[in-house]
Amino acid sequence: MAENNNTASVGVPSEEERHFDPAIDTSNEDLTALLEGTDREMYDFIDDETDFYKVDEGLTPDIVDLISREKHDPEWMHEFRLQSLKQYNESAVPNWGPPIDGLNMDKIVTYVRPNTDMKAKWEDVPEEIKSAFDKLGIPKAEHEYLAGVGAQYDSELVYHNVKDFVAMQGVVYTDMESALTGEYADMVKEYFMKLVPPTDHKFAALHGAVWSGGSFVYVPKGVKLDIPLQSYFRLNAKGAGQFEHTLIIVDEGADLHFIEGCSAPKWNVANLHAGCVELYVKKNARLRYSTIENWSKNMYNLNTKRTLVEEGGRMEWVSGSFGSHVSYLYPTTILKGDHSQCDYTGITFAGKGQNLDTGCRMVHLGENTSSLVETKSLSKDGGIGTFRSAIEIRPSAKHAKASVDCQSLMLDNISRSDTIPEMDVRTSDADIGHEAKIGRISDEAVFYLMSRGISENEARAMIVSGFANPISKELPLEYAAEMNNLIKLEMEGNM
Amino acid sequence: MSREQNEVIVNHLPSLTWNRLGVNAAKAVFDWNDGTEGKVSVRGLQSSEITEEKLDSAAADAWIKQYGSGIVRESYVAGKYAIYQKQAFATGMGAGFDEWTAAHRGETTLYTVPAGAKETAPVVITRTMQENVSDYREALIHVRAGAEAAFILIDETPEEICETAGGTAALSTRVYLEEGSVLHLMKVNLLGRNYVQLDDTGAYVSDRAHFDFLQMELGGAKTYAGLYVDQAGRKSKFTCNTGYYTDADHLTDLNYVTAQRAKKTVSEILVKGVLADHAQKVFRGTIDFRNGSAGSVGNEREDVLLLDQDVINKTTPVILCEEEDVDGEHGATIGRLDEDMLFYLGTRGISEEEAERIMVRGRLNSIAREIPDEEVRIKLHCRLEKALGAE
Repeated sequence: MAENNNTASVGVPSEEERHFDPAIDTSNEDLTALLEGTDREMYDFIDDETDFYKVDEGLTPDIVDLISREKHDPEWMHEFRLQSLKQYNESAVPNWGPPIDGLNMDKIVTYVRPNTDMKAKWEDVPEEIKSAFDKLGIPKAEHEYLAGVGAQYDSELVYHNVKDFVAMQGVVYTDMESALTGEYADMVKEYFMKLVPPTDHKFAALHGAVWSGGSFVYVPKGVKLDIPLQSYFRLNAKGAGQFEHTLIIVDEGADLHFIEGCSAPKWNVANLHAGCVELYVKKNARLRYSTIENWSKNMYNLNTKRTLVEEGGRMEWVSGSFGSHVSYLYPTTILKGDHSQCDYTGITFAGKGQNLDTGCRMVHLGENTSSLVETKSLSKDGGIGTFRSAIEIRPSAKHAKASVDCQSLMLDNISRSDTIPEMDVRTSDADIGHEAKIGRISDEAVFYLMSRGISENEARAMIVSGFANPISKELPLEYAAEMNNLIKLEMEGNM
Repeated sequence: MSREQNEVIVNHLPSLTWNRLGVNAAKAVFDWNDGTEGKVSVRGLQSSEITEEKLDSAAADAWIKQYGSGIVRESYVAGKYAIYQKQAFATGMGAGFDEWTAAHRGETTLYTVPAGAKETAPVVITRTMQENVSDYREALIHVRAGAEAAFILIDETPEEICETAGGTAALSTRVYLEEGSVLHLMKVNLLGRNYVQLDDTGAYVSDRAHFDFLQMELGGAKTYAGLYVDQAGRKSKFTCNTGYYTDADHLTDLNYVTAQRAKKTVSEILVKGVLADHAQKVFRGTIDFRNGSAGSVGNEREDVLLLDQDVINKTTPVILCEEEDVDGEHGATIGRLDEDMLFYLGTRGISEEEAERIMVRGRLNSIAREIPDEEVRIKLHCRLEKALGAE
């Protein structure tokens, strides 16, 4: 038959099908052009790179050895890194999702370390780094709300402080490096990259090989922290990757709210973030994990987040994605224990030059498990937003309940918004519901607001803020304010 | 007569997702008995103004090239691939099936509905498949401006051998709807319980035309069905009603795509199904709002009833959108019988088994009753009752 020279014969999940033909790739975008005309002054600032220590560009076993030595890794971790590197070299890049070919691993400096050791006191942190954090508002946040701050500057945790009363409750909040050799070394070894093994995908393997920095949190049985813990980390050096590892264990009956926020200055060289978050929610425990992600718009954000929830446990994800050039972000929840629950609330705002592929995956294993997904997605100025999800109800998950609700708002006709959910149900004892909607800002609503003396652009911005409201109300006040500022900044192009 | 095993990758999801989910495409594996064929009978054609013409391979290709959209504009947006396959006339099963049919093609039948003709009685084309038969047929339907017609395409195996008969029934249908025309296309699968069916459909819908599609899947061990609707015409409309009952260790694999490319188009997809025993089903439904589809509306709904513990249900309802002024919605409800309903029926003296049958009948009959032919409806009813084990 004529004209059937098929270029897309892909799809069945065999190993061969995971590879792709680079000849049909289109990702030669000029990042400099993409960054033009965006007023992000408040969030984009670059400090001098002087005085920092860098490893050679590119990724080889020698570099992994060097990182391991620098970190004073225990032997098992050194081995683990080398195994992961092998896995990384053997795995293919994903054949689905946004293009990541602008990312050249040979040019990414995987490890950049500021020349400062761990500081226990804020006053001791170097001025240059401090001023960067001041602009991000960390000290204010700390004074007003937060128990501890683990702020990561480039690849190293530079400032870490846990308030006395949190420590007195037995809560461990430390950087991963200290945890690896300290009192909780055995616990770290038991849990490290067990939920997200390096075999999971190429970037998990990369993470396993070069990870550095990140937080370790252990909340003992029955301890309920009524103030959130916060970790604010960011990228700075040109061409630097960041591979922080977060490991949180909330023991039986305990309760924790952890906040992760990201902001990074802009550079016109591809930047990579391949972090990993592993969360363990034990019997009857609760964990809320909130993220406002605002990486600069040249960032490749290939982050992996996963949680294992045991009997009666409850996991809550609150996720806002605003930054990055390309994002692959799908927090996964494994509802292992009977009666375990998960809520996922997310918002994604894809603007000019952005291709944000976000969503979530819920795996129901236990009986009477339930999951609730509510997401909002906005696309504007040629941005591409994709909601991708999977709800998997395994045969053992009798009486499972799952509900997915995703709404997308298109702000112009040069942007794109896709919704690609999947439901895999393997027991009849389950109730699964799914609803998705896509549309535009209603003319009637804009007209109504204008009749009340509000300009059209302001009206549109108000409607978008209202659309995002279910997400912002889940965040602590100042984060909600930051998110509203971000939405305002993104909408300003319209004003 | 020679027997060979064939393998074709079909039913591509237009936007790839995680490979591990196993929904990006399907691999159809089936036996092919060269030299055997099904028997085709046509009813209702003589009394109508519709003409029938046999085309050789070159003529059929020429028609496909003339009336297809040609190579649909490629798009890379959802991934790094061209998410739309290159086909002269796009179909749901895709280019891989075209390649396979090119090697197994016999005669192609072209049905033409003259301009302005209003054919209220359906043309019923029945292909009867006996034991161990492999057959591929190709039909083209051209509905001229302002005309209206209904076609019912049935694949069946005689009742007496239905329980055991196996073979392969392949079918490709391409339809072209001119301005303001209406086509009701109904496809019914009543094949033997060991049959593999490959049923491919492509439609081009012009300005103000209405393509009304119905599919009933009650037969076969493995069914792969694809449908691609190119809503290129302004104010074009596409409605779809599909019902399936899949039991034993059977598989139903469906891929429906509608590309809404023009202003004020409407699409409405409704799929109702029942899974029993160890059955598996994959449903991919994509509404694709292309740039230029301002004022369009798309709605997709799937409703799956799971009767047994070991069924596997995969549902992937996709909306792709690159137009601001559209209204798209999709929904899915997957689960067992409602306990309140069972209780209510129980208080009326109806057993759980009987209640189950009532619910299954209710679902599938709501689709079947849209078929404007008493004989076909009776056949469907008998097959369903047999599957439900009712006396």
